[in-house]
Amino acid sequence: MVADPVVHVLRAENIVRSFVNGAGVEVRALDGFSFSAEGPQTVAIVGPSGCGKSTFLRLVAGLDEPQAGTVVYDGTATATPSPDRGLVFQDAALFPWLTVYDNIAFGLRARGAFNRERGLVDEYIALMGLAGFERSYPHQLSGGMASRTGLARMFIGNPGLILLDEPLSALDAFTRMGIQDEIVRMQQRERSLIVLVTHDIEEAVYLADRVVIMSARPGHVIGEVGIDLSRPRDRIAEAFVAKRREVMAVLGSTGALGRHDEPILSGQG
Amino acid sequence: MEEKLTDGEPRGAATAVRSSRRAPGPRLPQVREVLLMLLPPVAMVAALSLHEALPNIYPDDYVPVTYAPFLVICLAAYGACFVVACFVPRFRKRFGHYSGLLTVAFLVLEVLDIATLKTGYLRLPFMPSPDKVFYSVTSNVPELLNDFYSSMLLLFTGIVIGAVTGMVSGVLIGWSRICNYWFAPFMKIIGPVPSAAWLPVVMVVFPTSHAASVFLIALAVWFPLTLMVSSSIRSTDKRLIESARVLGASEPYVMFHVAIPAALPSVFTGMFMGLSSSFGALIVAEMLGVKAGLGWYITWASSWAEFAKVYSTVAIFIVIFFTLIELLFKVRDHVMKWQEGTVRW
Repeated sequence: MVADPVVHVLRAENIVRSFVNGAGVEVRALDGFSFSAEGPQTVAIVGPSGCGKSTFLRLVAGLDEPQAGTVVYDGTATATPSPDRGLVFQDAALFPWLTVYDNIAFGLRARGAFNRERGLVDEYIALMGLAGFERSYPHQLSGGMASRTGLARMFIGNPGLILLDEPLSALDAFTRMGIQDEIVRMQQRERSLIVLVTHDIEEAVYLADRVVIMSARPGHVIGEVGIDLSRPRDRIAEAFVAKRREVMAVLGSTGALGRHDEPILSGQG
Repeated sequence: MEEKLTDGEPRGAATAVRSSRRAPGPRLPQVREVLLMLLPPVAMVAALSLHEALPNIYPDDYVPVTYAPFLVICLAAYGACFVVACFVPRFRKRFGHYSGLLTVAFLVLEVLDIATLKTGYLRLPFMPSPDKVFYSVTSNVPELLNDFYSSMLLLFTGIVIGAVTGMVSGVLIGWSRICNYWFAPFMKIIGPVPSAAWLPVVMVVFPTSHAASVFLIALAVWFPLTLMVSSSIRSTDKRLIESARVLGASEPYVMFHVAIPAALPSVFTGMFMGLSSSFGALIVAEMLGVKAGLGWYITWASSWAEFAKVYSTVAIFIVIFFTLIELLFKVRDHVMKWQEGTVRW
């Protein structure tokens, strides 16, 4: 595949987004959050529960609007969803009435491109290791296969920006490692910009070129660790473990790790 | 709880392996199964012998014509099924399941025969003998067919109109905030009023009693369908809608390809409730409004104290309603094969 000539740029400045919780109290999910990323690379955002990571992804995806600040992708504000900004939810959110094939073809059909590009469906089914499962319904799939289907459904639109909202957190460790390698491979193939939100520090260090660390609510950036390790990465190499330790240190320095007993904002990762 | 499967293995495949191990191939019936399946014909033969052996004493000079042929036909039909069941294990399982019920049914029928025709313990005109009830059908086929046609025409016109309008209004009330504001209260006020209460009003408002009856039946289907579909669309999983929007789907596309398929289980629940109340509406309309159809025939027969006709027509209604509901279930099972562990009513 030819490298994408366009360098994608995502810039978010001083975002404020608050919600009213069940008790009628206003809770700030994001407060003065700024973030930028560009080019084909993977940026991971880690932080404690309720720090507004998922809220940020929803803003970038165009599913939500900030109360203050701007989110700009390739020069335009992300006010509405676009197939150029792909999003994968935690448990894939597959359409239960569609087969694996039809789930993956959903975007093509919705954009009226199915007749022109139907060959892509089989291509991505093969790429994500889903061959033989085309006619299965989501309830017949294991967690790993459902996750692959969700990723294929997003990758097939060839988005320049890929937003992953804890896509693998419901999987067991072995399945997760397999799909992490799949994501690395797809990123190198499609040359897209990936923003990954995760709880899992090892996952962040394994996948990302940069790890951005957020504070507990109200969320803002408290640090960043560059991961300049070559791929494929060795999860138990000295350098890999050192990077994990570095991320942990930034998280721990603000007391972010010791506050899990706090009630989290419902619906916000 | 289902056993944990390794990644990459769909649950369907595992179940297929397991069940094929259980049933290695067609096998012949066991003795116990055969004995169980022979119980209903024993009951039929017993009923037939008692009917032939005992004298007919009530009413005087009554000559039964249909009861014995009915039993013989049942016996022949059962025999045919029995032969098939011996060689087709899947059919045998379902067929054998009904042995007990069929046996008791034929015994009850013979008890009725003895209580009426053979002893006169149950008196006419309210308790006709089974023979008289069957005869009221066989002697009256053209008229019953005519009324059957008239009833079904009414019922289906109403159901189709009710289902189409119910789907449209359910989707609109569920999807659009404006439609919800203006039409949901209307639906909630009109819906729960039973058909019988509407009857005097619609008879005046509509130009013909046929149109009024169609309206009543359509209303009976429309309300539960609208309610189920609109509430289901309003509570569609938000992540499915957002996933679709992120994949580039327009609002109408999301409505037709996400919200409506997600509401399908409720569509069938609504249709089930709607069908049930449409039957009630049909009977009310025919007994009090239109001058045709099986419901009207029941009223007419009972006014002449012809209770054999009343009972046989009620039985025909039971068969019709049962068949329609079963048909709906079959359609649902086919359409909803994507759903895990289909819910049974």
